[in-house]
Amino acid sequence: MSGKAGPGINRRTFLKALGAAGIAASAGGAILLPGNLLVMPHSEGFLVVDMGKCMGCGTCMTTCSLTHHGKASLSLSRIQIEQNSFANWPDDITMSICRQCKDAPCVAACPVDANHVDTANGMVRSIDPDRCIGCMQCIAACPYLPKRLQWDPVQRKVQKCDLCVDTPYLNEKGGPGNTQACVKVCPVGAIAFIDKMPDQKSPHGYEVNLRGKGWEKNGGNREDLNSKS
Amino acid sequence: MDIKTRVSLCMVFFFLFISGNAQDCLAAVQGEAGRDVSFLFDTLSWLLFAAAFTGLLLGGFISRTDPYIDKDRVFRHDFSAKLSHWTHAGGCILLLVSAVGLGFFFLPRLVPGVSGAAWLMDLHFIGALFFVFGGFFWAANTIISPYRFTEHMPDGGSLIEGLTHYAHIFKLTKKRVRPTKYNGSERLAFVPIVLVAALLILTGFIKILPRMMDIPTALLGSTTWVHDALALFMLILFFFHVLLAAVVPWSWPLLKSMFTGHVPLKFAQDEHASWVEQLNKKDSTEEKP
Repeated sequence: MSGKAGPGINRRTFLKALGAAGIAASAGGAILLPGNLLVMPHSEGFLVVDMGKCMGCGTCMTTCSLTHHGKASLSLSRIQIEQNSFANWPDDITMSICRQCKDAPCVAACPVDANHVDTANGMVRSIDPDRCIGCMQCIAACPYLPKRLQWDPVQRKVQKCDLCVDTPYLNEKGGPGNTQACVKVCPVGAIAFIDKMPDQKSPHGYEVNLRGKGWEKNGGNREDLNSKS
Repeated sequence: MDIKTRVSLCMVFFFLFISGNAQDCLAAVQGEAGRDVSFLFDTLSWLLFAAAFTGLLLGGFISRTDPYIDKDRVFRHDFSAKLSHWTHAGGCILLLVSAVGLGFFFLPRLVPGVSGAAWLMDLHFIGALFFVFGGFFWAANTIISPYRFTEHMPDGGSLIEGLTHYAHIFKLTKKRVRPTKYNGSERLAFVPIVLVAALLILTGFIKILPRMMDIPTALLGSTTWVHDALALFMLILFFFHVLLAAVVPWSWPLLKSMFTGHVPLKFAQDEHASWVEQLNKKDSTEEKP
């Protein structure tokens, strides 16, 4: 019952040749073309926060979830604030924002390129929810604690700060060079958008000082601490 | 040591050798900082393609034995049939268990963290290896011997035959059907099972393509949806297949034959009367070239 596939070759021989060639191509391709050798351009925008100024009101958190999801939910915010009543200022409040890392490990970890460098929007490290399969590999890859990516329990996907590129509930254009909702609503100006990667003098975060003349007028020393975000 | 055993051993050693080397090579470029979990779908995705081609290669190498009557029993399942069936079965169980665990559609995700997801994804990968191998091995056998496909396809009388078969089992009618190798319900189930399995493999391959190339988001999103829908359908088919082919007592001889290769002649005469007649007429134990 072994029919002819062509002149001088039967189906069995054809399958043997196809199988052997396919195995060789699969194995050879894997070894010679390893992939994932990404050249990751720097983000054209960064959020920084001065914890000396932050008073932990949570306005940025609710605004973040409002602009992205249309509802005020601390759990759906891409900014996370932790408060420790027993610590001294300014260590009593910690704010965690995605740092738009150089060579972002979360982007490299994504198996389906859902977490990607958004070349159309200032190289922001963004997650495409339509592609995300919810494997959480990017969360594991993020080297910071708390993780700068959040699990969205509603959509069962991962989300992260995209500098407001994808904000359907914001009546302004977001993204690098445009509006960032958290920057706009922070009542004390503790969050800022900058277009240059900040100095990083320690593994804990960027060195930030957003204190201005108003801070001095209120009796504070503009250089009394270097906040880390 | 016969040719089948030698080929099987060669393939096992080949897989072990290649996977060990490739794992080391890929770990060198994928071990980015902060990443402490790696998925087999990432590091060894090429093995899925190799499994497909291995199925074709092995299908080309192994000669099959047609059914024949051997005294008081009938030879029904040869080595290839058992290999194809059990790789499908094992793969399908791993795939469905891990798929349900990872959560699809409306079913809740059953893993709380990344290590659980990684473990289930790796389980899904291993299941996919078996399933893809079994699927392509079956396809190779079908290409070489198309009659094995056509004898399984339903015809105009399959629906009535299947209904009568079960009506008789449940004592709703005294009329008995005289099926060939596959009775009506088996023929009817064959089409959706083959279609769903083929589409699951196709959509599964599309889902791993982003590891190698940039594919449109719309294609990936719709493929994920279709893959999930087919998985749900496969879960239902699998449940009924196990129920009707393994749980109910009247199918136990067939289940046993999936290990031994033989069914009792009496069972074959009762349940597949036309098939036994065909075998008696053919009276041939030679394998097809």
